[in-house]
Amino acid sequence: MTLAATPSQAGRTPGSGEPLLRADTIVKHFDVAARGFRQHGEQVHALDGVSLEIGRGETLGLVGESGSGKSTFARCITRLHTLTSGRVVFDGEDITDLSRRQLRGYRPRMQFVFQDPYGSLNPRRRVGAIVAEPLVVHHSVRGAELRRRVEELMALVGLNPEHYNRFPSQFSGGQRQRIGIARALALRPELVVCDEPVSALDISVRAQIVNLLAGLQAELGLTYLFISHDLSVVRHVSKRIAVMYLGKVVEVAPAGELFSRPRHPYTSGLLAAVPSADPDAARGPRRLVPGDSPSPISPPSGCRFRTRCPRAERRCAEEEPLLAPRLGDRSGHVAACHFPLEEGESPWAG
Amino acid sequence: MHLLEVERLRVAFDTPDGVLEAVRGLSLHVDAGETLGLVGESGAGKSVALQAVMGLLERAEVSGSARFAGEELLGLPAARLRQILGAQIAMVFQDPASSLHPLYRVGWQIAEVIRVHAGIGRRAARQRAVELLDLVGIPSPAQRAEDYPHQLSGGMRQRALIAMAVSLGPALLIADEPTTALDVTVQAQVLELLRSLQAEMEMAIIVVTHDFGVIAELADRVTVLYAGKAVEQAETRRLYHKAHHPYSLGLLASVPDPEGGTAPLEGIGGQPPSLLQLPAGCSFHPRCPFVMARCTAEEPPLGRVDDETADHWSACWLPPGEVGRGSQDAGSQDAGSQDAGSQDAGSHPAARPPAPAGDAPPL
Repeated sequence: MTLAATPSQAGRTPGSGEPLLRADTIVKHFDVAARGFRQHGEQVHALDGVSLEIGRGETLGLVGESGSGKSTFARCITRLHTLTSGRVVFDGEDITDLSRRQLRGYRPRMQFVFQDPYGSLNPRRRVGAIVAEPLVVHHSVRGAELRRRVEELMALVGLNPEHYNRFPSQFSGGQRQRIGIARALALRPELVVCDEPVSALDISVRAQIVNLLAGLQAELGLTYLFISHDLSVVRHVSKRIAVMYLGKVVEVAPAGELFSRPRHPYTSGLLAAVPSADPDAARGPRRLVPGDSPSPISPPSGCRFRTRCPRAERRCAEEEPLLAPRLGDRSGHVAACHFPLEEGESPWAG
Repeated sequence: MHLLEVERLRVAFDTPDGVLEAVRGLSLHVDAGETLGLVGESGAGKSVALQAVMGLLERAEVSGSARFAGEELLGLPAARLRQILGAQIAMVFQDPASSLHPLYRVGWQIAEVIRVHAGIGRRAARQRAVELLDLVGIPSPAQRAEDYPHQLSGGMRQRALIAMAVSLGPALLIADEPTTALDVTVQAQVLELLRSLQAEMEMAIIVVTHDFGVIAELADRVTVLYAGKAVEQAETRRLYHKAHHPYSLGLLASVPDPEGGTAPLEGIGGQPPSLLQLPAGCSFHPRCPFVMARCTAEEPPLGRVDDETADHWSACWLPPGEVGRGSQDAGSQDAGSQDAGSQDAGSHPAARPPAPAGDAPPL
């Protein structure tokens, strides 16, 4: 049924100093609710041994297709999920087994910006109250002081503080996303998880929010985990990028390096699949990554990408590849592939 | 004669807050076998315009003209419209999950379309459905035809819907955000499929999207919509290299360049306007870095950008050559100022830190 995750995988990137967050071989399985003809005991392997570090003040981009485990990872490291196994270390403290009560002290330090600016704001509460809530709950701020802090936050994210008493429905998508950002920043968090923060927005507004997030990071020294399926946005905001496929990290690299010298065939295929806005570049000959992601209930043995990989050989089915750097490479570029790509090589070129 | 020719199309809805004009005098055309891209943001009127043309809007006031192969579609009796829709004009929607009936087998749903329109028997229609599933690249089509929609992945469902759409060999396929809900590797597969089907079946395609990547992959020509109007029309390559309308330029500058660095994106300040309260003059003027006095008073008509090029149109008072992607420097400096900030809380200066001189993004 399941493949045990290899207990210790490489993939820790040599960072400078103690990282803000360290995820060590995180495994998260979900039970499939026994319904209809489904068998009892089936499990969704959402994460199978993911190790990543996020340095202070950096943006780690996390890309992958739907079902790759990006959001589950974010929920595990912020302990919104309980882990099946593995450790999460935040600011030097192991928070893996903390109780809800013990976690209360950590909650203000890690906040979320969500994808859907419509679904993530209570439509019946006024904007001021939405932004104020974390301050009330965690710091018991009240009265004029509360109002002042909320207006400050609204101004910080580019909202007009005079709109304090408006409802979310009176704002456009981009402005709603600003409300969500103000709420996330209310408690002066250290880590902000941005889970597809611009995917639901119009293109012209997307650029505004991306710029806003970048400006806030510079101003407040925030650390971002930036999750997106849009590679060009991730490339734009991230210092390092991790690529996930079916519950595994398959490659981690500095942003520029990942785009110019991908080593994992999946990363390379993902990059080749992004349509370019330039009509001359868009229609060049290329091969496509075939098929769809397999089911995370019964992932393939060995390398999970082997069922779609043009380079797959017998070894790929038998032995799971571990994240490893190229010989002598100290840039922090690691890939989990038995037959990694050399520079300039692409299995997807036409 | 064009295959589809839409002229001065207006679509208005009566809402509790007043009359909302979603489409305000849109003209466009598609020739047989070519692909037209419709680009614009939410509320630009892309989908509403096409739905109006196909008579799918029941409670809207629609005026203007939409001729398909010479026949006026607007006001056509329902029975005649039904003959055309599905058979000669087919549609593929954004969300493959909700476009299929969850309780019927996929093959049956495709066969039904064929039986209704082509009047052939069940067995023959079923056979044809399996052939179509094969045509759109679904492996073991005979077995997949027996599956229910939930048994297929998102990409497979979209392929099945495309099979259904092309089942009667339509002359025109309308694809409304056909890949928006799909993963990027699957999107690439579906775009490839649409291209090959088009070549094989000689269909015209209208693809509605907000993604210039999809446009670049598929479209021969592009119409850019803003607030219910066409603001620019050009051949795809020309639009990419020589866009004239500041809105088109802004859209192109909003797409992060995968080769580029992390300089702030230019983007566009402000928010799209409310269709209930459109600004006077050019409806883009509150967000436009090149705004002039005239723009606030008079609405610019769609006019030729360049006499030499037959088919490049833009609705902007700026003379041709004044803007354009070659002269981005002037534009980016203007765009970096806070002109739109006073208009709209959404464009606080924090959102667009002025780019240091000489460090403008390459786009």
